[in-house]
Amino acid sequence: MDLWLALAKGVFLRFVLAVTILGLLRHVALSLAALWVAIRRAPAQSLDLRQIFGETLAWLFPIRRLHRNRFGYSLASFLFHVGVLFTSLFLVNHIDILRDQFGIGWYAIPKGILDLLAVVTIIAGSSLLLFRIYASSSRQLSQLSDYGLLVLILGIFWSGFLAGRPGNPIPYAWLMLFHTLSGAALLLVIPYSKIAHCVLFPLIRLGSAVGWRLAPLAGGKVVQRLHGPEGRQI
Amino acid sequence: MISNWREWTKTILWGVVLAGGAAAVMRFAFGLGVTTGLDDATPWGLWIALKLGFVALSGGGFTLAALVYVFRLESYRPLVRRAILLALLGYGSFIVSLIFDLGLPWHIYMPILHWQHHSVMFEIAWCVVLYFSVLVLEFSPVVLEHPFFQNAVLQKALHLLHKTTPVWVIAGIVLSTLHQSSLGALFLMAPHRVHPLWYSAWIPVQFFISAISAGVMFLLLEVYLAERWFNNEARLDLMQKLAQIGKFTLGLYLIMRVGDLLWRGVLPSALDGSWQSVLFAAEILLGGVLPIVLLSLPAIRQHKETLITSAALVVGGVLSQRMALSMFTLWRPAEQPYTPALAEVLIAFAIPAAAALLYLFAMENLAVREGSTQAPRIHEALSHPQWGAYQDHSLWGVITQRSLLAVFVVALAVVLLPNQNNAMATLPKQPVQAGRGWEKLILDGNRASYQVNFAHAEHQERLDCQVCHHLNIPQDDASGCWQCHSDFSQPTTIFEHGLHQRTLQGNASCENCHAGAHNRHTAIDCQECHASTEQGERVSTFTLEAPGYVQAMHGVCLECHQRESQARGRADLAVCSTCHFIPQPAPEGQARLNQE
Ligand code: HEM
Ligand code: HEM
Repeated sequence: MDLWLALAKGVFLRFVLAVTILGLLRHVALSLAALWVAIRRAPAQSLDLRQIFGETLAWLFPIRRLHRNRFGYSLASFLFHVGVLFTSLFLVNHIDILRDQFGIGWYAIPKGILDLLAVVTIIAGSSLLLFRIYASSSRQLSQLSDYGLLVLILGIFWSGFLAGRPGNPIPYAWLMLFHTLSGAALLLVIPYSKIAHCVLFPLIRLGSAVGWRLAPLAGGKVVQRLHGPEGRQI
Repeated sequence: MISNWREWTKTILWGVVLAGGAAAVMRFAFGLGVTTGLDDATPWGLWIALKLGFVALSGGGFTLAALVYVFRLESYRPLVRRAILLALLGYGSFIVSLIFDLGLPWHIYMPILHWQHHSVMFEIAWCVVLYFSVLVLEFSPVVLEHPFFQNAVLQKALHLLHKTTPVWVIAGIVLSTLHQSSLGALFLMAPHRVHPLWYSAWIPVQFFISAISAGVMFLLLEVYLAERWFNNEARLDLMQKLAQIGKFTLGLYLIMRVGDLLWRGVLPSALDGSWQSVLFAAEILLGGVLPIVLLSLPAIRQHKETLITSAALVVGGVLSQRMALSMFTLWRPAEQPYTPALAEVLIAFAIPAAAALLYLFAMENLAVREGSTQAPRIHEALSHPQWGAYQDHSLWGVITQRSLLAVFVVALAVVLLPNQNNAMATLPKQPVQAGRGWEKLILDGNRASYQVNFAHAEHQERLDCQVCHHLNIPQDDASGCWQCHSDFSQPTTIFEHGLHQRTLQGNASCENCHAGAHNRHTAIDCQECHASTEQGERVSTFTLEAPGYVQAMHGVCLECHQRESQARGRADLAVCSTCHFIPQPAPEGQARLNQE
């Protein structure tokens, strides 16, 4: 058990983090390259970069845009993201491990605050899951991975949170092993699942701005994708 | 997406190159000692053996140039360009691998400025530089013919090159002859290290002749494989001609090799059933006699498959000779065996893989093969009017796939990179040998005989015990240094979290050691529970990783010695030889040795 834990915090973690970071960088590089090739080919090549940047920022901090009609969902989503980012990036234990492995570290938010945030995240994440299950429009659009990722993240949060509670009935080492392995699994799939949105999000506005400029026909694939090969209406 | 075996081959080659690239970063960041299995006993290892192989396989370059330009055998002309390409890549690989092997690679130009007329290395360096330049000149017409280089100046240069070809060719033949044989001459300088079955006063000539054989046979293989790659039929008549030359020179080489061993009477006694003699027999029989017999049979010569099988045997035999001579059987002290380290192996595979990729690039884009034309593929793809078509284009598929591969290969390399805490962690694990003695404590952690005879009793009189015994194993009162600093260079963890937890009844016990939050910074010190452990200043448990033995010992001793040497103005207190010495035989023994 100790050995497995050491491995999961050591070599596994190094590999997984490298895959996450390089994989995300690769997405950015490939997307920018594709956009560059596309815009070179578009009839109108000028882009209002300032406007695109502004819109991207506005969507990144959706303070004024918490949708009126889905207020609860948007709020939960926002809190969930704040929780995920802050606990994973600013927890002492995480930073200690990073220091061990790569010699880099940064400011840690006091554990008491993050304990609270973890609870908030668990509640927010569970609401997202329930929303997905009970709202029929969401349910119809959902794939298995949409549920899977939420469950995975909730598992990571539960195990991390419980591990920090002395006196909980589950042995510490088991919790930690579960936490590190599921954490590693999440990191590993980040670049290869929808969570790649954490770097691709800023490119969405840019991508749409470029997309509108392309010649007709260019969207053939999109139409095919949306309507199916036989041109079925959705 | 990758759809055929050609793309797969390239992708795998890229994978090998990327893995080697990561190892190369380690090699240059941490140096030879940490990243290779080389040491003073084995300064020449895998990379040297490989270099000799590259050069041997380049032998087709000068052979074909001589056949066509000197002997005017026009029927070989279709092969010249590819032979020169192979030689160019072979020598390029030689130079690249040299950069890895040199301790100070940025000094690679030195032999050109500082001439050491008596050094074989000097001759080798000059031959490599000049012959490589000649190969570049010989090959540059092929490059300049490409449509990309159609401009007046370059075409003038091309014309000039064409006119002066004979000069380059002859220079090339002379230089490579010199180089092939001077590589062999290297081994004449260390006769006592070369195994008797591979030693000969004729090594230089053997190197030269076997390079013709191996080079030509390698070219034969290349012709066959490349034509398959391009969905073409290799010309049987050319393959047969190459096989003929290869067979003849191979025979000559074998006669020299075995004949010399017989003449000097070495052979019978050296064939003693040791693994070296088995290797020798396999090399001579499978890589020499067998292909000669095969190639003498007309039925074998009629089929390309059997021809390349024989050629592969010859190439294998000559490579075996180079590698056995320079690596496997080269003498080294029995207690210091050599195993190539991971980084060494990765780089050794990456260099030929990179050469193969360059080779494929040249073959696909330049007119190297007889009657081949080139298609400007990249431009075509980029200027395609339809975006979707571009995305479907194989180039895009290849880029996405290769970059995905790069992510995983580089991530694997990150796993191999040393722990940031301590670059020493890349050194192999080396358990520390306990010290011996009491009044005089003999310390020789890695049994390398650079020992320290520590005047224990004398230090004990002047210092507090805990200057050195700063932490003890529970229930002990003067644990030895090696008990915690138990690896010669790597730090070792000495606190077992799991053990403590299990003994103290699991999760209920966290608060026994952690105040408030649960992390290493909140852990209490060892002696809160183990009264006897710490004698000096308190050491926090969770950060406790005992540094490697060398670091620990130097840390304690040197600090004090340096301070004292300053304070007392005695420089001799803090030099290496103050503590370290190499044990000598007793005087009378030394005298006897001198007499003998
Ligand atoms: C894969 C490598 C990971 C390792 C080695 C790791 C390690 C740890 C450790 C040692 C703790 C402290 C447990 C304790 O208090 O004793 C912890 C807590 C926690 N971790 Fe991770 N973790 C990893 C990944 C993640 C990821 C990817 C996330 C989030 C997406 C995450 C979220 C959390 C949370 C929410 C806590 C609890 C914080 C609290 O209650 O204050 N961890 N983790
Ligand atoms: C700065 C980085 C990020 C940005 C800008 C971002 C943005 C978004 C947005 C706009 C959504 C759609 C929410 C909605 O429909 O209201 C979303 C959903 C989601 N994000 Fe992120 N995200 C980021 C990072 C992350 C990270 C690091 C994770 C996980 C480790 C994550 C996990 C998720 C999940 C699981 C969902 C789906 C929630 C659901 O099921 O409804 N995101 N994100």
